[in-house]
Order: sequence, then structure tokens, then C-alpha cells
Amino acid sequence: MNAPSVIRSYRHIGTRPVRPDGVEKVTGKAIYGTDFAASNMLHGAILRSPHAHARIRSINTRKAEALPGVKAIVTGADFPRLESLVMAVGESSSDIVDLSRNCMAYEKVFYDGHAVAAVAATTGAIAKEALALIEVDYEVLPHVLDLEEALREDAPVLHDDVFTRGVEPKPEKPSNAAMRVELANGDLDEGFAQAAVVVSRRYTTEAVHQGYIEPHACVASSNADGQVQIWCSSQGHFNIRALTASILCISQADIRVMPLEIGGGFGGKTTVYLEPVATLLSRKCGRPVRLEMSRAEVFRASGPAPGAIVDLRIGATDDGTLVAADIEFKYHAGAYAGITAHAGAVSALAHYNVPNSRVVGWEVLCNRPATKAYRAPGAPQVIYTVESALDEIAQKLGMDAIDLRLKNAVRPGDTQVSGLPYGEIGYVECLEAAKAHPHWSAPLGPNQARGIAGGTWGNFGGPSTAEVSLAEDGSVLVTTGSPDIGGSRASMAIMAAETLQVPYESVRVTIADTSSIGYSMLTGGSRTTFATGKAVSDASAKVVEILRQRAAKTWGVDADEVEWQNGEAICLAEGKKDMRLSIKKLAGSAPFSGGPISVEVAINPAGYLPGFGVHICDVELDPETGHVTITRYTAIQDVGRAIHPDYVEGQMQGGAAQGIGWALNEAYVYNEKGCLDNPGFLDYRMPVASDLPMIDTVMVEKENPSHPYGVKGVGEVPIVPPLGAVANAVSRAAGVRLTDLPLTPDRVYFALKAAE
Amino acid sequence: MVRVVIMPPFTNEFFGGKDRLEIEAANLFGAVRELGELGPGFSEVAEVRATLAVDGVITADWSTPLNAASEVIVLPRVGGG
Repeated sequence: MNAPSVIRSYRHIGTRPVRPDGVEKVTGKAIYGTDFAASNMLHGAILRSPHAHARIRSINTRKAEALPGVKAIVTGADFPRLESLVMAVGESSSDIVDLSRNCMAYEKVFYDGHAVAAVAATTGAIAKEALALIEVDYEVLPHVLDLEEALREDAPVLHDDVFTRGVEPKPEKPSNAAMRVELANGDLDEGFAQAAVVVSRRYTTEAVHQGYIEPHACVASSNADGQVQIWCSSQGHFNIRALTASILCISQADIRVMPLEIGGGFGGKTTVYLEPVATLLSRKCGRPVRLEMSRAEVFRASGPAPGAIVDLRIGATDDGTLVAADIEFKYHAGAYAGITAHAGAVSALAHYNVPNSRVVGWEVLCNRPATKAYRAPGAPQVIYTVESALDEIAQKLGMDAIDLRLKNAVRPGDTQVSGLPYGEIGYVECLEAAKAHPHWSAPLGPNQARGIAGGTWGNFGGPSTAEVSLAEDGSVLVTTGSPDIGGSRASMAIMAAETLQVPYESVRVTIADTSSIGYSMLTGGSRTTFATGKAVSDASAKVVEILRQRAAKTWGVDADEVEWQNGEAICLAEGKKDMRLSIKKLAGSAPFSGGPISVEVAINPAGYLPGFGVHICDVELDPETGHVTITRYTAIQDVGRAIHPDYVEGQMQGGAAQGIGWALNEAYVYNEKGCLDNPGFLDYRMPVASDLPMIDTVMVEKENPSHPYGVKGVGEVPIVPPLGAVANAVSRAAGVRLTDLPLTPDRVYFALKAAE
Repeated sequence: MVRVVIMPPFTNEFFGGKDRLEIEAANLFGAVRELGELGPGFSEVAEVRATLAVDGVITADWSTPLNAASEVIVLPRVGGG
């Protein structure tokens, strides 16, 4: 259902046409990363560390090289030695040395699964056989996995050149504390002195994987002249080009990256793991090389979202007004410095007005894979704790959980922690829609309870390029550099069709390779429909302007006397009134009226707005086993204007499903040697269809005035509230506050027993 | 003078804990250069780690002119997924 609101009406915006890539995908014709093959291609495989932390004394590849069929082997010694340089990785940044060494270890391995050598051979079987012949002499070092153990004075220090950033004065000793960030306002003591009720707790969450179905895969072909072609699925092929070029010291113009279809990313495909390795292998043997990860490799070696320890104290007056919040969280960074502490700090209280607050965040190095982005990176963990504490405050005050949130919710014009004012945000509308939803007042059965939680994510803009051109028959070709992960082909086609006032079916969208269109930042950060969509809309508007000018020239009138309506030019000039030229006619005669009609727009739009969501979750608890069943779930979100509502609802449902998995089941399980014990979907338990009810959605469409069609980002917000919504429901059902995620049956069972 | 508000972690990382500065700058490119003088290392990472706002509005165009009444906020860029 949609929340009632007054919004502009359009011909195409807000409709649900058939997705343009649907037939290819449901018939299996779409080419994903693992589908692509090049002529004369070799098959690669990667040898990975069996140790969580070790020094590499030597690597002997002679026996592997002698195996018939082996064409190339690379190790860390084959990678250029780089100087430290912080590079953009999508919206965030990483040191290129860390990225390079994460692709292939040099001198040390930092986690179970860290790549140490790679082979290219005529078959995959030979490549794997060769891996077994590579002799790596390791000096095993003490490892550390736990956040607080990693911060102890006597902990094994992963990197001797990491000194805690964000601390003044700069520490003299290296440590595993990679970053500290603190945001504060008001006076905490004064705030807590006003509080009638205070909740103070420690919460924990585990590291979780994005769980994309398609593993990482690529084919690289390096030519004798140094030019490289890469075919891969990623969230941003321009990003793949930039990182591969920097790691291998190649000009970006010498690398052409062809985007393949992507089978899920959720933030996890915003970096490189395989592409530089495959390129080096190809350079050595002169043939194209394919590398792909197995599911176990994906779990062991690609970046999860960090686990967390959060210490929180939050206080409210007896009418529910929040007066103080003191939060300190520690996030895993994994093997290399991460990017989520600041995001967690700014997100923690971003949906509420809290006059006195302090949020301190730490990124902690440990012997796990380097953490990477996962939908709203850094926000779900800490917002779960805030939402859990608010639930307790509501219980203690005897207040409705939504009323408590409404009392403190941020509104347009309120000030963010940065000092910036909020624009046209819709958190209050989401809370009101939740309260009005029949779910909120539906009766509950025995052992059932209901939880609610809110959340937010800042969203982003970023650079995008789009081209809109007309074919000779007047059909429309839209070209972007933004991989289509969540339906952007459809939304781009809708926005172009709306602007040009032509049928949706007459618009086709192509995702161009890095040499065929100007730069676009990756598809991530909930930015593509906003930023690339604005580029498409702007380019389409310029095409309309050209069409009006061409029609005016044809009629010998001023362009101001030509109107564009329903895909045709209409003359308004006296004596020629109502003469018409269709887009088909104008496109066909374009060579004779000034040349082909094609417009490229490159922009870096600001004006993006944060999104807000509220989720309601019903659970049923089995007191004999501790098993939790989700019986009903509703996701409500301020989505701006939904260009293609099916896709927006899909984002909301997908984020909710992932968040439910985070709350109930998912966790990396390491053994005493620091090796991952559950690198597969049998043991790493993500929700499947039979675990979940139909997830109802409510789109609150509060338009963004900075976008031609009111777009706000929608892809990340929906993973933020589920942790709190589920935990609050389970805690209410259990009658005891549960503070350690995931809420696996054993944890719930023992909590129930302890409370008896 | 342009007033500059620095957000953590840049305050401690580059500016010795100072979160309020005053600088001379004609536009945001100039502001970043000037801030690099006051906080060595900042200008080298600003393009990939910082988001800038002028008078309460996030601004992607660093040629945006500044005047004596301008307030610039320097925020860490938040990376999404």
C-alpha cells in the first residue's frame, strides 16, 4: 500500500512497466561474471592462506610451474611496490597499498583466506592441481579476532605503520586501533541530570556477509602493447579501472573494463579482489585469464560488514523527551583500515533530536577479512542499539513506542550533527504511516510480540555521465556508465520517456564500458537513480530543446514558438499554428537539419537527501526451543518519488530480509586457529523464502525538490531498522531484553531460562 | 575572513583538535589549499575523504565563490554500499 500524499502526476513516473532486462534474465541469456568466456582463455585459481596471521618466509613455485598446462604464476613479488596513496573507492576511500596487498599478500598474511599466489592454466583442474604444488613457508604468528582483545596492550599488532587516526596527539606506538572518531554536542552531565529514566547497556553484533548470489569473477586480457581488457561484474567498472590501474601502475586509458550483469553487490562489489591478479597472470602468459571465487572463497576473502560492541547510555524525561545519549562503539576493520566508524557516528542519533550527546566510534584491526561496505555501512549496528534502548524507555515510561519516537523525531529544518539543516525529510511521515497501518494495531497471539524500529541513511550524489541520442526512426537510446543492480535500466528509461514525452517502450538503455562513455561513480550509496537519473533527465531535456530548435528551423519560426507535447513539436506561430513534426520525422531528417541528435551530460549533483524508514515486526517465540518465527513484517520508508515502484518496494523487501538475517541467524564462526568454520550457505544461515512472511511495504513519497522527479535514494535505508525491530519484538516476546545478535535459538533459549 | 567548521576526525587528524578556523579564500579550491597549509596532509586527502558545505548547503562545485560572510563546513565523506 502507499501512504496518502499529494504528489505530482506524470505519464510514466510511478508506473510499473515490464523491466527491459527481464526476458534475458529469466531465460538465462544474460551474461554474468562467471558466464563470460574469451577465445583462447586460460583458467586461474588462487592459493589462499590457511593461517589467520603469518609471515611468509618464502614461496616456491618451481614444481607448479613444471606442471604441464600451467602457463603463469604470480605472487606478491610480481606486484609493483607502491607508495601509500589514499584513493577514492566509490564514495569512501582506501589506501592503494592496502588494496594491493589485500589482492595478493606480500611478506605477511592477515587472515584465513588471504591470497598468496595465483596460477593460470589450460584447465581449472590443472590450475587447482598446481596450487597444491606451490610451497609456502609460513612463520605462524599469534592472531586476534575479538574487538576488545585486539585493543589490549599485549595484543598482536597487525601493522607496525598504523597509528590511530583521529587522536591528538598522534600516538607514538602502532596499534590495532585504526581510527577513533568522536561527535559531541551539549553537556552530557547536565542532560542525564534531567533524565527520569536511563537505559544503560552493552550490545554486540556479529560480522555478516552481503550474501550476493553471484561470486566475484572476471576475465582479463593483457596485450603485448600493454593495453588491457577486463570483463567483470561489479558495482562500478570505472572503479575497477581506476583501482586496477593504480595497483599495477598502468594508465587508465590503457584499461577498458566491460561491465557484465551483476548478481547482487549490496556494497561488497565496490572494490577489486581478482582483476589486478588476472591482469598480471594474463600479462605473463599473453592469453586471457578467468578468475572466479568459489562460495568458500567469497566468505573467506571478501569483505563483510563489521561486527560490533556498543556501550550505550540514553536518558529521557518522564514525558519521553530524549535529553542525553552517550554511545561508544567498536567496529571490526578486519585486516586493513576500514571506513565505517564515521558513518556509524553520524548515523547513530541522526533520526532524533538529542540535545546532549557524545558518540565515539573505533575501527579495530583484527585477523579477519578487511571489512567492506554493506548497505548503509556502519549504520545498522549502532542504530539497532539506539532503537533497542528507545524500546526499553517506552516500556519503562508506559508510552507507545511510536509516540516516543514521534516526540523526538527530526523534522525539516532541524540541525544535523554536522550543523547542516535537514531538508525535506520524511521521518515523521513514516512514523505516522506506521501508526496508521493496520499492522500496528492487529491483535497478537500467544507467545507473540511486536517490535518497531526506525533508522536513517544519508544517501549520496556523486559524478555521473549519461548520453541520450535518437536513432533514425525516432526511438531513443540512453547510455550510462552505471551498472544496473536494482533496476536502473527501467528507471532511466522511465525518466527519459517522461522528459521526452514518448512511450516507455521506445527507450532502450545500455550500460557502456569505460572507453565508451565518460566517468560515472559506482552504483552504490543509493545514488544512481538520483545522480545518473538526473544526468539522464538533463540530457533528455536538452534533446527536447534541440528537437524544438530543429522544428523551428524547419518551419522558419523562432524556437520560442515551438512547443513539445506528447513526443512531437507543435508550432504556435501565427499562420503555422498546429503544424506538427513527430520525433520520428525530426530524427529521420536530423542529418539535414544540423546533424545527428545526441547529447551527453556529465554532472556531480549535490542536493541529495537522507532517507528514513520504520519497520514493524511480529514474532512468535517457541519457549521450548528458543526458535523465533517472523509472523508479520511491514517496511515503511520515505522514498522521495518512486520512479518504478516495483523496484523501490523490492529494495525495501530485500533490505528487510537481509536485516532479519542479520538479527536472527547470520554470523562468521571462527575456530581457535582463527580459521572460518562456516564459509558456505549451509552453515552461514541466511533467510530463505520459507523463513519469511510476505513483507508489506508502505512508500512515503515525500519528494526531493533538488531532483527533476523528486528522487531520494532508497537502497540502503531498509537494512537499518530490521535489527532493532526484530530484537525489540523478540525481547518483548521473551520478557527479557536481548542484547546480543544474532538471536539464535540457543541464545534466546538460555536467556529465557536465565530469566525464569 | 571565511569561517570554517571542521568535523571529526579531521579536527584531531590534521588540525590539532581545532574545530573552528578562519581563512582567506576566494572559493572552495582556495579554502582546501589554505586548510592544507594549516593542517598538513589535509589537502592531499580532501578530494577523496571530505564533503564541503557552504552556508548550510553541500556543494560539489569547488569553484563556488566564498565571501567574508561565508561559512564552510568540512565533513568526512560517508561511504555507502
